[in-house]
Amino acid sequence: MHRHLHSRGTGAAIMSTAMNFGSKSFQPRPPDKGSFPLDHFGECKSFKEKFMKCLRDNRFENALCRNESKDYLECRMQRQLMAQEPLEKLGFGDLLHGKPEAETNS
Amino acid sequence: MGGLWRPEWRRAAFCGWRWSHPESPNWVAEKVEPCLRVGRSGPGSTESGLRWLGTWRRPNPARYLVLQPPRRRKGTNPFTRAQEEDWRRRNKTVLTYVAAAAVGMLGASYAAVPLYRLYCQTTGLGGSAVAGHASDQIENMVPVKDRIIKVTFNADVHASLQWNFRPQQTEIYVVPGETALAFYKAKNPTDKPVIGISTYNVVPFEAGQYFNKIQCFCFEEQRLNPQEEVDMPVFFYIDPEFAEDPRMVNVDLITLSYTFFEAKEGQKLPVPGYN
Repeated sequence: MHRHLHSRGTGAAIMSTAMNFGSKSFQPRPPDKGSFPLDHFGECKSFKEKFMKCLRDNRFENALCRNESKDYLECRMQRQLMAQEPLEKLGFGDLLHGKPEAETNS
Repeated sequence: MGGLWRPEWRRAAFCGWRWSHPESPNWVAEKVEPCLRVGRSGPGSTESGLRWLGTWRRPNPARYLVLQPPRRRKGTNPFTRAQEEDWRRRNKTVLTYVAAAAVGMLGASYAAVPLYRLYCQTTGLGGSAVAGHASDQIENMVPVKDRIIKVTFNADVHASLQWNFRPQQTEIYVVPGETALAFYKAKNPTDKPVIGISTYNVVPFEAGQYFNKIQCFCFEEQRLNPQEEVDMPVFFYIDPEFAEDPRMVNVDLITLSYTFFEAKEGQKLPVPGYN
């Protein structure tokens, strides 16, 4: 009995790693823009701390902390830790357009 | 009864079942007789076949009063010889063309693999059939604000890798079409530099195809110096089409799981995708 259960468990493990043509398996895809270089010197650590604090304050809702994430990515781009890209291409177009409006209002 | 018995059926190689008039006294013989011998002609063979079968009955001689031209060997008829030569030549030409086409198809199927790889490299599609996938789509995508998805994070480390690897937030609430940033932290507590390489997994599997990473830290070697601690960001979004997929109606939780392995010096691991 125990041996049968054990073999079923290992069989399932083998199934998940081996090529099984019956069911689809997860295909990891490479990231669109490649890999972030590591921030060995912590140059953008303060921006990251601001972002994490914002998340904790807003119950981890991403929509409310997008300005902080934009600032973090800008920091990375300035320090050569990320390829320079216009922010619209990273999905922050609405933040950029919203900014001049806020400035004229206030 | 006699009308069902056709002389040309004797010459046919086809031995199919055919319905004869069941009241005919010869109906068994008539059914079986075409199968007994093929190609021969003439009235005498019928009788010998039937005699072999053991159901010999003299068939109706009136059958053989139908006139037929005497048989000659193929190609001996002088009137049609030129035409037959012409047919034979055309048959050979057609056969040559068909064989050439078959060989051409086989060659094309072998050539398709490097050609497609070349095409992918020049157009940068990278094996995915979706054209213009990355930046144009991100620029133009509209967040689906009414569909909130919770993304939880999981961090694993292979047993031989001594890093402390953990996510910096347990979960984050995103909507499809909105780019999001998340952080992991890794520390190397040993006294030697260690190189790690990671892969990821997304659960549920079907939602994984909508989970797009713009930039992360996976699939490339990451080197941590002794006692060094770094923040590892993941910049991702969930495809807006997620909201329109009927299979994803009940999916509210997506788990992103990263696993770090130790990479040996100089080891070149295959990156998923087409390079």
